[in-house]
Amino acid sequence: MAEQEKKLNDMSEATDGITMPQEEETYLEMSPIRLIMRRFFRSKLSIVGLLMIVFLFLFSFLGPVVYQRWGEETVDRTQVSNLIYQTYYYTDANGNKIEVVEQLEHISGINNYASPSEVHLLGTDDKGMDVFVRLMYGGRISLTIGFIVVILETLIGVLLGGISGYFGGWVDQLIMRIVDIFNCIPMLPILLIASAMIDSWNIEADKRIYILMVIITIFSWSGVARLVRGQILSIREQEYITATEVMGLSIWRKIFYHLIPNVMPQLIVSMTLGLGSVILYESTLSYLGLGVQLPKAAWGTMIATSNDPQVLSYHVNMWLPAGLMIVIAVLGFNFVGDGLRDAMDPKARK
Amino acid sequence: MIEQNKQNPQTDSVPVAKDGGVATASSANEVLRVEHLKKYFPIATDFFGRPTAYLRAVDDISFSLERGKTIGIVGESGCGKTTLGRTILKLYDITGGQIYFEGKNITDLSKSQMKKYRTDMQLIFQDPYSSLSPRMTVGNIIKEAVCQHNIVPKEEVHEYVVDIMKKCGLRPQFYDRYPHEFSGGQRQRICIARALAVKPKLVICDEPVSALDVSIQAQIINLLKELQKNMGLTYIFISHDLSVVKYITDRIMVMYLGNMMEMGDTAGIFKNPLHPYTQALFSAVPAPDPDIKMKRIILEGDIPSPANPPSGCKFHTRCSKCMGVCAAKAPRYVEAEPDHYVACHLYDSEIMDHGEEYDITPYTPPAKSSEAIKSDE
Amino acid sequence: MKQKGHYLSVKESRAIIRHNIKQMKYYEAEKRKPRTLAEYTAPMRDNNNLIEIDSLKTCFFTDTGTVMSVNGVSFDIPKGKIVGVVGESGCGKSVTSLSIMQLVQAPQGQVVEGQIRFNAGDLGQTEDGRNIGYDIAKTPTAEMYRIRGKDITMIFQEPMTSLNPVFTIGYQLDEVSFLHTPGISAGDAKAHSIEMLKKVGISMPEHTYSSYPHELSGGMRQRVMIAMALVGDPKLIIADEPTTALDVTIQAQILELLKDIQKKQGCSIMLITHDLGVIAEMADEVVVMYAGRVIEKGTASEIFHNPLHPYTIGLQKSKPMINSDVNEPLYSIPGKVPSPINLPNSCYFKSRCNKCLAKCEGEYPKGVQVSDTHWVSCYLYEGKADTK
Repeated sequence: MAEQEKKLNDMSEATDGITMPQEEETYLEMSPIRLIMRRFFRSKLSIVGLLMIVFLFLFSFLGPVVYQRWGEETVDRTQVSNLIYQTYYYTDANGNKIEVVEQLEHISGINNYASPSEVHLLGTDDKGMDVFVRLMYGGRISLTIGFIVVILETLIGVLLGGISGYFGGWVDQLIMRIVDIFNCIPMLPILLIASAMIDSWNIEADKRIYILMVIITIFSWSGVARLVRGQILSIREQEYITATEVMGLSIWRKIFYHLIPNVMPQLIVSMTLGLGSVILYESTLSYLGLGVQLPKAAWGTMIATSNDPQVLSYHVNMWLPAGLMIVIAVLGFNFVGDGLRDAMDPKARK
Repeated sequence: MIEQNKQNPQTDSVPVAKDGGVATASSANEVLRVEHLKKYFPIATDFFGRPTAYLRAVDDISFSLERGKTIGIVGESGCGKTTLGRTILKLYDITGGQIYFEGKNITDLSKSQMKKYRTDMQLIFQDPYSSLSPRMTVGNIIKEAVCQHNIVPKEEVHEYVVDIMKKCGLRPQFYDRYPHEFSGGQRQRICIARALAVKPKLVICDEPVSALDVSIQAQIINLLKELQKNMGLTYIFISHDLSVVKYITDRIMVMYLGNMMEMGDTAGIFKNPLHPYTQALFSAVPAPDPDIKMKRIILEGDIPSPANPPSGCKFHTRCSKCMGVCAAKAPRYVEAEPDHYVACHLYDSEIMDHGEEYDITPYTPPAKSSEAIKSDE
Repeated sequence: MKQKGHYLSVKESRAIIRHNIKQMKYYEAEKRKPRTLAEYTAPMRDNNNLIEIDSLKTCFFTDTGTVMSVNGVSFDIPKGKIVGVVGESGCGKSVTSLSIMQLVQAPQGQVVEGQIRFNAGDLGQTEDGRNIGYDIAKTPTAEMYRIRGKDITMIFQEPMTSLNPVFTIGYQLDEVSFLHTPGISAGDAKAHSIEMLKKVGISMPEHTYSSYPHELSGGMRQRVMIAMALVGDPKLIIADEPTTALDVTIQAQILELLKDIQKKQGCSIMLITHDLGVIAEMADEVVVMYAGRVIEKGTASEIFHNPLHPYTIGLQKSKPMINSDVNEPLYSIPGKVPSPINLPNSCYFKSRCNKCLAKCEGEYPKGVQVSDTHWVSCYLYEGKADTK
């Protein structure tokens, strides 16, 4: 390496002064990655988004490792006694009103509906499971599903969109009509039907998650495919792609060295934004009882406990934290996605 | 082909002087010969996708080019000069005519058959900004095609690329930098290096200097000339700038709306431009001397849309010497001077000597005010 | 990692950003301060000048450092003259014109120093009979709205993008009238617009009045742009590369038109271009700029027949000409324009110059007034102020 460098320097000296224009570099450039970083961090919102996401990851993946007091599905079986007071009114012979207070001791084998305390940081739910810990496990599920789905849909989208945009003609027509079909199928009813079917097949909770991922993927690749196709169509007009044609490069090289790297920025942005929406979908489905099922923890199922008016009004600690987590996740990914879009957009370069 | 001929009965009725010498018999030194090349783009289609109207971007162009020579293609925007360059490279399908490269007919070769010829013909682009992939380093950009076609053994690739870079006035240190770090002139040098790295025989320069500053322009022109001398290259130099063309070309072809207007050797054309359009083009270039107020021929109106060109001679709507016959009959190529061809009735003795047969009285085309001819963009 | 020093380090980059934020805040606050009339007006040096630019400095605070786009530029635009500003891309000619219009992209771009005096003629005179003019560098934005578009107008390079595609030509022309002539009726505005269209040689003005920009060709659009510039009856038209995007034959038409208009209207034109031919054709006075500074200025015949600065000479020699000998290689200035960041205080052209003196290593050469009208900034002519 050092030798090569020396050689290079020698050569440059040898040619200086003949045809080589003498150029002084009076200032330094920013490396491409730093340029993107700089533009990304210029926006306060993207910093906030990044912090949100970092918090989410630490909380969900590192949290359960650090905080091991309760497991995801462990039920707090400490006996809890609650004193219940009941008041009765009697009227005696003299017509006086007598108030009788009866003290009852209710002993329960499960510590459910507990309020936040030192033992249960966010209390327990109706089954006596720790809300705080389930929040962390729910985050794991949401983020994992999000990542897997986004990667799957991007793979399919890049493949089909790439083929469509690169080859054009009837292939393009065919793929784009398929995309249209997928776009006009209403997603929610299909999901409802699918989960009813899964229900009837009695599939266990773990496997339901995989099926859920596949279903969301099937319905969300079309957007990516359309994006990639559009990008490739516009990049194809660029002269450097004409140059690859003139150079006689192979199709394989054209696609993987020229087209895909130039679609990458938009892809990363769409993946980041996609993460937020997948998490939202997963939560919706879980809320409707179609996605992740008890006893597995998911933010959606945790919010679903608020269906009980008692819980809705008296046990805010059971559902509000999960709602907040969803907000943080979706906002975080959207902020970062927007920030990345601004940072990577070559047109924004001044 | 037959169908297209039907579409354009007019063009086919144009008598093309076979003896015009525009495309003479091939000689051993000939690199490229183009005969009656046509490229039409469909601009309107019927319900079943069959084209109903064409934009005649290149309409019956013929020329030949010898090794080590440069032909300049001059014209204004929309005259089809860029399309001509790319059609010769077979980036577009050819509508009609023949292309011979080193004596071999390459007109009907398929894409995979063309691969063999790809390294022989190269293109240098006008815009040095969009012609370099923003996500590749300079070294990789230049290296890519060299590796693909095994121009040099694998071990020598790096050295070879550095050598080419030096020849094009780039420092070897630039090998690992990205295109956005360079100025326009340096980017154009990278483009030239990329084109020359595959050892081409014919280089089509599509306005290589028009996006550059004057002082950089001169550098690039000198570089191109020097490389031509050292490597024996043949150039097709496409430009709208006549003064640049004069410096680098041996022959010039003037195009207007897809047609060839005038062709001849550079010195001859500059000394004595024959076609009224060429004359107007020459006089329109402002001279960098405040005292020379040249007698300007200012053309009326705008360039008509190539989708709907005027009848007869395509230039007659703006021509100051327009005659009655110009609107009716497309002119043929005449050799007005030795090796100087022009498509204008003024120089066609058959027309000018038969005033009783043809209408050669001065004629003003119907008030086609410039607003009426709307651009079709 | 063969060239380590090529990229900015994180530390350097951070220092630059901190500096930029501080500077931008300072200048933005400066702008917002309320100013009295006396603070943003100044007496003109010569009543015959329409614009006097005095050591103007405009810089841009970018992530890679402070770019001195205009670095101490001084020149005058006399009344009723065409002043050509010529230079290569990045020499600051466009930024100078934007500074005159107060259109420099804030907050990154700021006029940091100097005066631009505009002789509007409506502010009276000082005791010694000099007109008082606006100092555009300090004029508040609200006041500037009155001047911009009426007294000073601009024609841009790209006729395709400088018209709004969703409005008719007529609407866009009338808008200018409504803005600058309060109380004008719609009919009057239309009549005025059509008159302007006639003036720029459009033969069917009524028809053009009701058409949309996309229906016109490039040359026509540029004519419309010129008509739009004329609506407010301007004192100064800034034409920023008005013909660069046009074909030669159309360029000839537009140049002819501009000249004609200037004669008829008696306004001044500041013509910015990189094309020496256009300058020679049009300009009465020429200002040559290089890397943000004026290096030479004089009348057109002085600049073209007796160029002094090596850069002006090189520029003229490297321009291929139709009637010149082609057998010699084209003269070319070696190297490229220096990057506009952290320029040393010495002649910027010295690394490309073929007449470099030992003195050139020293500080930036002060200007030499070679004749009444001819000024050059080069050590070669130091002390020759009175020759010729």
